[in-house]
Amino acid sequence: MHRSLFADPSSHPEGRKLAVIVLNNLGSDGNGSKHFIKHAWSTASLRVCADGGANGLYDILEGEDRDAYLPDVIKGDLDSLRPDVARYYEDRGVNIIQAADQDHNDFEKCVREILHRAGSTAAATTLVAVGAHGGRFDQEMAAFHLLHKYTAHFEHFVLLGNGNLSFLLLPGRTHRICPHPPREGPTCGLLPLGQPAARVTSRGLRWDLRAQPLAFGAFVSSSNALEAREVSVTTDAPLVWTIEVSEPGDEGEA
Amino acid sequence: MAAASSAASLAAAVTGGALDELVHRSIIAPPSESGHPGQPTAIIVLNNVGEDSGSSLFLRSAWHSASLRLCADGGANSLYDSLGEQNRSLFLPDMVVGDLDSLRPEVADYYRDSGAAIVKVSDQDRNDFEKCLQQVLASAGAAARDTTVVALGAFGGRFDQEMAAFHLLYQYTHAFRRFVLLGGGNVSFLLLPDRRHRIVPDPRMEGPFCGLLPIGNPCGSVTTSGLMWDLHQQPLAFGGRVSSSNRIAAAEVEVVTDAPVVWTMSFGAATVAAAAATAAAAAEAGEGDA
Repeated sequence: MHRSLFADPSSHPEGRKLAVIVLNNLGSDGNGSKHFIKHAWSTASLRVCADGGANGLYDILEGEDRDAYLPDVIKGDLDSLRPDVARYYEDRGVNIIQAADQDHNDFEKCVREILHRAGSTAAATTLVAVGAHGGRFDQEMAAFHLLHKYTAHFEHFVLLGNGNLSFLLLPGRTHRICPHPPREGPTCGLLPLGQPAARVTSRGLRWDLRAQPLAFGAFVSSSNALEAREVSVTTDAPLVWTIEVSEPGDEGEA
Repeated sequence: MAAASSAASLAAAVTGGALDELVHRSIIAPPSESGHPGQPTAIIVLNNVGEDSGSSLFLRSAWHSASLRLCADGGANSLYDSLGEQNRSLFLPDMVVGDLDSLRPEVADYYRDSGAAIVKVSDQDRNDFEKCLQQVLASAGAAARDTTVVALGAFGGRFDQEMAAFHLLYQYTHAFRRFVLLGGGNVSFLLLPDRRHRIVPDPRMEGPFCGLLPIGNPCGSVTTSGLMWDLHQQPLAFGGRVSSSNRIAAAEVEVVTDAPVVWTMSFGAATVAAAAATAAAAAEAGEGDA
């Protein structure tokens, strides 16, 4: 069951944890990422900035109470972290960890930091990476590579940013996705990113799939749309679910 | 020549024989420099055309010598808006193609009055980008195999549309000489397995960041030269290993692959400048330590 990030937090079961990683491309989607950060921050058990993600966090909170949205950790090779941002967060007790590991990018270092700190509670943790879409395409694809590598370690692992929300559907179970209109949808898609899928079946979409093979170069489900309150999907190979996310209304909806 | 012999040894390492070569020169190189006057370029303008330096430079360098200039429905709005009053008369498309459910009336009027054909194509199985590709194929005929197709505004915006653009790369790359996606600081194209690829970036605007991405399928063996972290018969797969945040480290990059793989590199003066600034700061720090 994939409950929407935008549903009322009080409807979430006890014992569920939220971890947030802040990445580089925060500024490109208007207020969407800022709004999520402000609403999720206090309920998150762990909040980590991946190197330059700290600059982004600092900058989008211009004119707001930055001290109410302090990360727990800033981690990475730190070649992007601005000195003024580092000083600001250091003075407020934020742990800044330099990790010069060439085999893992800063985002992955943060995922591993969260796994390390969460321990056995990782399986009950929803990990949200904000600022994952847009910007450099190789970095955007690296984020999806990490979805493939780490989705099974968490209850959910979600990429958010630039008006998009994406996560990986693993084979072997029926996925029930409960989006939260009007913030989410209606436009959505199922993308065989990384490998073809031989059989994908969905219910609840405008163009449902019935044991449909999906593959780049053959057939992908893009520009699809929500048609029901719940979408169910089964797949025989890892499959990306993506849905458009709009900015919150002026009513200040949560 | 050193480049040719290293490419030959790359090919031998993978196949034990000679491979056809495909040279991917920068798409901002003027036709006179590329030395291939017989190779037409078709330009398709998509939704997310911004005012980034790379897109502007591409328009200025390639628009007027292109054989065909199409806007995919809402791409016409993006072109109209990003150029503004001063410049939009300088970059007029030949056609606007699609279901036309996004095209704004004032944009349609402007381009129609400028001589563009506004062509409504209602096909639920193909998106507007694909309809433009079909138009390029129809217009080019037998010359499609010599044509370079550049799609501007392919990155950013809705992720499912961005991935739909890559789906079309996988589907149509074989039909043209080259098929390139451009926009938002990125340039990407698909490398097919039956040839040796020589990629020749323009260092003023392209790189240094780059990557090799097995977007549609895993690769069993990818070999490169000219990168900071070269690959040697390396398997690539999402969840296994992908090459991202790599860097171009030579005037030419060579790639041989056993399965289709996406090449991407950063595009635009800002990335080039930022990378140079970081390198300079690191060099300075290094000197300080010594």
